[in-house]
Amino acid sequence: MTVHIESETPSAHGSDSEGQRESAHEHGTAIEAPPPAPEPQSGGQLARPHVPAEVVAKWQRVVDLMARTVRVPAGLIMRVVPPQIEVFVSSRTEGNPYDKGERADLGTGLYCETVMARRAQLLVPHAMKDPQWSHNPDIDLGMIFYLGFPVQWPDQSVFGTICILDSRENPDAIEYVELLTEFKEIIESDLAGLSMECDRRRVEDELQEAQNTLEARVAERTASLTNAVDDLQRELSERRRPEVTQDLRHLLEHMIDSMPSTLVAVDGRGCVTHWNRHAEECLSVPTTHAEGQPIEKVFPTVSPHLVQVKDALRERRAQSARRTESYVDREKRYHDVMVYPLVGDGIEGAVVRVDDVTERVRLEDMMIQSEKMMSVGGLAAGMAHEINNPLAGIMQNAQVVLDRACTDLPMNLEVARELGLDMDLLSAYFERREITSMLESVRKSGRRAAKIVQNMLDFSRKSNTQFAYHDLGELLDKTVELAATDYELKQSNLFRRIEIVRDYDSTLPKINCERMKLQQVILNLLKNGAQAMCEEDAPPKTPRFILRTARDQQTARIEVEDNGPGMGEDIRRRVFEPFFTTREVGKGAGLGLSVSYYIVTENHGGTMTVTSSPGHGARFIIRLPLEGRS
Amino acid sequence: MSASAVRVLIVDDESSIRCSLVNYLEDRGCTVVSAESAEEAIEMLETEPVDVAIVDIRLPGMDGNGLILAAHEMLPSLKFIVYTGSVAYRLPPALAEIGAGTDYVFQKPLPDLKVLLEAVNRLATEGAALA
Repeated sequence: MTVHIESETPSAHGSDSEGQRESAHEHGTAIEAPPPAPEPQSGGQLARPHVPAEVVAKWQRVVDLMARTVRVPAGLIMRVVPPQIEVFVSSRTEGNPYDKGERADLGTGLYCETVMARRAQLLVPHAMKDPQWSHNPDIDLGMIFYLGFPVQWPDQSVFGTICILDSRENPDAIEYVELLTEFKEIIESDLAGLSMECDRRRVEDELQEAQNTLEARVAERTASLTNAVDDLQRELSERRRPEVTQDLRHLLEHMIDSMPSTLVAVDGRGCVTHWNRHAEECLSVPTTHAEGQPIEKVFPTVSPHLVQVKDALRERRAQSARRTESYVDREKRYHDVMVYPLVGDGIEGAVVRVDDVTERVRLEDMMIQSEKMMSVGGLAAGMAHEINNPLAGIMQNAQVVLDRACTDLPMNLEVARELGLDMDLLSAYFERREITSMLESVRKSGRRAAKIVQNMLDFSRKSNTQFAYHDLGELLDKTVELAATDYELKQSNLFRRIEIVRDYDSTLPKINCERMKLQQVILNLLKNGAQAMCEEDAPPKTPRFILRTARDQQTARIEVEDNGPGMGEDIRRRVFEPFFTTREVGKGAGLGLSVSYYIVTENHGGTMTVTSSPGHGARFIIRLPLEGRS
Repeated sequence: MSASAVRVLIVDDESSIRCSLVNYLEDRGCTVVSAESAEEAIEMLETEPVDVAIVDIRLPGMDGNGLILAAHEMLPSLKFIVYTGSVAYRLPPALAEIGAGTDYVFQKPLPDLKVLLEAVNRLATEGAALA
């Protein structure tokens, strides 16, 4: 028995501290500490754990053993039940005046009260001999000897006491203090176990509760999910109804019709099965006419891409062609064509999607154009140096050779005389063999090359892109020179044949303008006019430009007139549109006049117009504000 | 005339330009020496008496601007003409300070070498008047 108890003790003690902290914190204490209890513990509402019958039985054995071993009539375990104290277990020994369950009021000077108040063991060897104890209630029961120990819950709150009492002074009992301490600890370890058990149950209860809550929630959610699934299934089955399918079909058709692309579906043979609204509008072919027709018949833009349509059908792979060119009303348009196979159960066919990307391509072209201009400017300066040096070598040497062939240089005569050469005869020889004129021709060509380089520089130099006052007549003349060196014009050998008539107003003040840009405008007009005069089947006998400057109220007027074929109203109205060109594909971007228009109107705040009729040439009129750009 | 002949130094790395200039000026009575580089020109100035130097700007090694500054250091009375193929040439302030003028900067190619001869004579007269 003892062995068994001892083996329990350490483990009980081991968990003690935790149990104490837990219960002290969670429960406070159920005990009204007996006065003069030093601890200000307030009475909690929670009851202490119930001490089960088997523990009470064990304690009974402990108390019996204790009383018998120490040979005292009474061994007790007392439990405090405020405001009283109760005999919880009483030894079954002879002469024991205490009955189990018997209670006594506290505050009456009981031995046990002192033990509990002090939390310390108490030994009263002979109460009658001790004035402090000579009037205590137990003396009435004849118990003058007392040895007691406090019994505490793990949280140090008081359970009660364990004690022995005797009717006589019992000197041996003192020897048993150690034994009693052991018993006390057995009781306390049982209490600790009970506390722990109680805590465990409480935690288990809480867990159980949490689990219950969780289960309830899960059940709730499952129910709502089930409802949702049910709803969904109901809805799905509703959708399968014919009118719902119809709605969906309409929606899809609207989506396809609203797309800003031409969308055409074809079957395995390449015949149209679907023709969206954009296709109707762009190709002016109603759906009813298009459906069932071979695609190339109703959609000419796609004709060059039939092979892609076939490939897409055969290989079941998307095909595309970007930036394809075509002419619509003499206007170049660009398209992205994409063909992708229809993938689905038992469907054979393809979708052809065509997007008009003309605007985007034009913007890109314009950027490339302006970048080209920039790079020409940079190149020109570097190139000029490379050309100017050999040019100087050619021209200088030609000059020196000419010098040395003439008769008026003293040094020539001196050398001729030394050699016995007749200088006059040599000179005559040079004339007859045209050596002199050929050398003059070399110098002249050199001068022209130098001028070309100079013009090119002037035209491209960045420092010239600033407003300054310029004489318009002078500016026109310089541009004519520039035009004469233009490669395209030179190739056609036309410009040289063109007569230039100048009609300049000499009283016109200098105009604030960007010389280079204005020259670009005039150059464009000269080039266009020259081309028009030369490309006509029956070119004018004498191709002629008339260049005019005049004052026109608050503006300076520049006119560039040609006697070419002129143009009809339909073209005249569109000449300033970007990318509008009357020339065959690949010749000119159709940007010249629109850029000119921009320069005159936006850069210079002027106006640019054209008058023309077929067979009567064209006259471009530029008006610039006299005061320059405001 | 030959006693008071203007002495000219021509510095240009391109022989067709250099030789034709030498010939032209010699025909017109100048005493002419020439160099292909700035370094060669500096060496030459140590021994040859020169009134006017006609200098190309883009030269191998030291450029024309450097040459003018160095030569001025050596011969403060020496006059300079810049003759360049570079269209973007601007007279550096350092050269303007030592008396080089924009009137004596010429762009290649010159349609007539007479303008160069006139410039040489003008500068030589100027130098003679000062001396």
